[in-house]
Amino acid sequence: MTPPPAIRVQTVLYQSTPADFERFLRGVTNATALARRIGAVSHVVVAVGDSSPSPVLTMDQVERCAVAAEPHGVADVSYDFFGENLGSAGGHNRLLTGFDQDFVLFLNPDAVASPHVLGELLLPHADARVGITEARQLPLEHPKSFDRRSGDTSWASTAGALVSADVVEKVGGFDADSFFLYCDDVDFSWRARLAGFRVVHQPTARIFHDKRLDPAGQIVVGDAEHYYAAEAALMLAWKYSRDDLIDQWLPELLDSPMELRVKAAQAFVRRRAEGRLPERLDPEGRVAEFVGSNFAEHRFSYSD
Amino acid sequence: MTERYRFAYGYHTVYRHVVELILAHVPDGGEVVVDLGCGYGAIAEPLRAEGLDYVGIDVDADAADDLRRRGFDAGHADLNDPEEAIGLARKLIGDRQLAAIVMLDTLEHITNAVDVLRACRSLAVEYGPAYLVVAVPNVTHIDIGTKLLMGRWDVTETGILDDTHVAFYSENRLHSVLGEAGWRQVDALDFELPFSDQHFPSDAAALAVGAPLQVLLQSVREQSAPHAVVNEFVRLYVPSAVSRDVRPTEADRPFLSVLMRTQGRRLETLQDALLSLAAQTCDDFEVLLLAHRVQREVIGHIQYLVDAHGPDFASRVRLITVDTGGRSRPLNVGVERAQGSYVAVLDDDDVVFAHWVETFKELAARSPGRVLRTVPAAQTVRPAEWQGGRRGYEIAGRPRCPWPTRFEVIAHLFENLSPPCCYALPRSAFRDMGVRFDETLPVLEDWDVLMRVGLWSGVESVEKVTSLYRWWEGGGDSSVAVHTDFEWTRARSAVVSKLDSTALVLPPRSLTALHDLIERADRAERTKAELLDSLDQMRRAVSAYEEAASDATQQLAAMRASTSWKVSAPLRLVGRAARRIVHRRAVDG
Repeated sequence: MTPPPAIRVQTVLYQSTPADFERFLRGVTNATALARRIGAVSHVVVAVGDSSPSPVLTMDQVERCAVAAEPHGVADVSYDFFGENLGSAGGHNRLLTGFDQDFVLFLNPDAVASPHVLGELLLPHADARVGITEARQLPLEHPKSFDRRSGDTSWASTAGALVSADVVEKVGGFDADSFFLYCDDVDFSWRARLAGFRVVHQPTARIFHDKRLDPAGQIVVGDAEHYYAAEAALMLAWKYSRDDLIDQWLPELLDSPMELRVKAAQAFVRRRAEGRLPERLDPEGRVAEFVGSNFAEHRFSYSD
Repeated sequence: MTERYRFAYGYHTVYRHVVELILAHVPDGGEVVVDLGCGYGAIAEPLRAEGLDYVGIDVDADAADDLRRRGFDAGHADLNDPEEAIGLARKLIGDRQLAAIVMLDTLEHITNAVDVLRACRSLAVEYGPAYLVVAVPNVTHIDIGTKLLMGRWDVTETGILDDTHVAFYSENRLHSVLGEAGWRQVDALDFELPFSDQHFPSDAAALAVGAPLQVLLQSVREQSAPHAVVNEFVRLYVPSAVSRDVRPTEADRPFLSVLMRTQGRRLETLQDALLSLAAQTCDDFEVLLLAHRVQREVIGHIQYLVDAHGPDFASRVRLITVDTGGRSRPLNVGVERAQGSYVAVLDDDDVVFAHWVETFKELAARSPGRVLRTVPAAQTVRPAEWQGGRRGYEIAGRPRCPWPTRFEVIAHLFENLSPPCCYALPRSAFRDMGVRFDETLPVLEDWDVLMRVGLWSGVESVEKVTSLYRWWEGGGDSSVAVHTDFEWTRARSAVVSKLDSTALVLPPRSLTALHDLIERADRAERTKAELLDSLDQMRRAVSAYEEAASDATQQLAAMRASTSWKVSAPLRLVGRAARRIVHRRAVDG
């Protein structure tokens, strides 16, 4: 009988608070305890990276958290203050160094794992073709569509996604050179699919992702999102061989009334001129999906 | 003792209530009733007439003499020395069996009630089994409270505010004092007077029956606690273990009690709701998970889902089963058992954002005691099957905020514009003001409570979205689908009728809001009148045109029928032919 797998949970902090981290770790600890009780996992280690300008946690706080989590099956809590802002992709890559577990769960620091999330995310991995399983986010569900029966989906959000060691080995980490904050997970998923893995959305696996709405019903986003989302869209279109979209989006962004979008477009133009754009993939469009400004069919839109 | 306490036994007196209560419970073999603080013994003869021996003890020697002259055993003792008084009672009882001890209009005259009542308990156990009957004026009679609001405390020679009273009793205090002395209440036959001896000046707006202020005060008093018109509590007790009220201190209480109803039919959305509570940024809350008419095996599963969250969260969740009643019953059960300063209601398909509790707590710190209202969002969902055949759901559209961002009291009087997940109610509304969810309402019980609490407590709003209400496409198990249009209409009428049956308290600036409303209505009326006027003018114009057209048609017909028209017909034919030739040439070039 195959022994239950070991899981590494990774998160990258950026100016979070110790209370946020405690909430995060409480969720992971509960999920670990339950998964061990039902024999779904052998143990869990938690790797925390910190891209903030100054450390969010003291080593004492980390130690206290580790001691509290240990009896529930969290074998280790490590904390790595990077001393620089590596972004989400770069931070996860740094943490992946020395990864030797069977799975890695990428989980946002403002997310709380549900008790059953590990067991539920592991279920589809019984099929060896499945490389990534994605959790359903609450309170604001991602609008991306998925196949109702198989769960197959275009890409998985690493706000909460379980990736097999096979995928990490064959695909490598995130493309941190091209994607600092956004779409690193879209790219990662598409590369996994190009390598023959399935990406599966699992609605029974829940995470609470601390997003908020404004009184007009719109998701509250920061300035960074405007910049990095625009930059990432251009990079993704380039990397997945969609010159037609570059031709369409670039002029629109350069002409945008939002200064941050203009800056993002200018940055792309500079990179292109300097030959610093990534190698191009998927020229036949086997996995990459560009639907409007989205990277999959969406079931509904948060912005209409 | 002065003659002022020589009251006669009569049908409509507290004495009849005392005697009836004794007679309804005389224990087998009981022979003697001891009346402590008996005064002139108004109940002596009626008890003797029922075959019971009467023993009177009073501090007033004249009163005891009077009783002895009437053929009763009586003695003189001061209750400031309970042992002396009880010792005298022992002597007077002799070898007879004690049936009951009576303290009628006595407790309010002594400051050592617990000691006296403990001594009575010893006597009842020694010579009994015997009951204790207490009759004491109720200082929470509506007349007293109303007059205090008018700044009046009218001490009188006799009555509720007799000038010799040194102790004052509400029902709670009576319960507490008797419990501390080792007595447990088993029956009651209170003496009611809708207009007590304190009902003066009866033409004051606060007391005059039917005056709006009187109606309002009466509704406040009657809703807040029972016994508004009880003149004297008349209660029957048996000896029991000593009880002391042990209540959690404020420091032990959570800020918020979350009442979450579930019927155990939507376990997937229930898990969503529980996760959203476990993910709160503020932990200062408890959850009363109210399983309403849920099968036992499902209860076990629900408990498993709670426990799965680990002790930090699960220890703050109490699973309570409620097997009777309609939608409101579990909420009322929850209200009774809630410990928080505030109460919020969630259904098992609601989801809250991480700052739901935190926002309520911030609002409460700003405006304690108010209803706390945030902005609700709503999202349409529909049932769907998830992998493995699990009964899930899917999102059918983005969240929207269809309700007003701030609580407007006038608008809420007409329509329910706040789903329960978006507000928290002060628990004092339930604890101190007697508010309960109306179990006769099949739906809209939340609107009813929101308005009744909100009108009295006021509402503090903040423009933050903190909850997500679910609209089920196709209904699902939601109240919209389960209840008929008729039930909704009837419930709405019932809520409006209740609000309409009493004097409304509106917050400051409501008059401005009403002026605006009336002005808008006036403007709409004026616009409507102008539009109708325009329409009328247009109709008249159309009518004039139709009349002119009709005249012209008639003239044309007359002209065509005329001789000159017929004679000139060949000329018109030639003219038409000539125009055709000219046109063809122009076309051919």
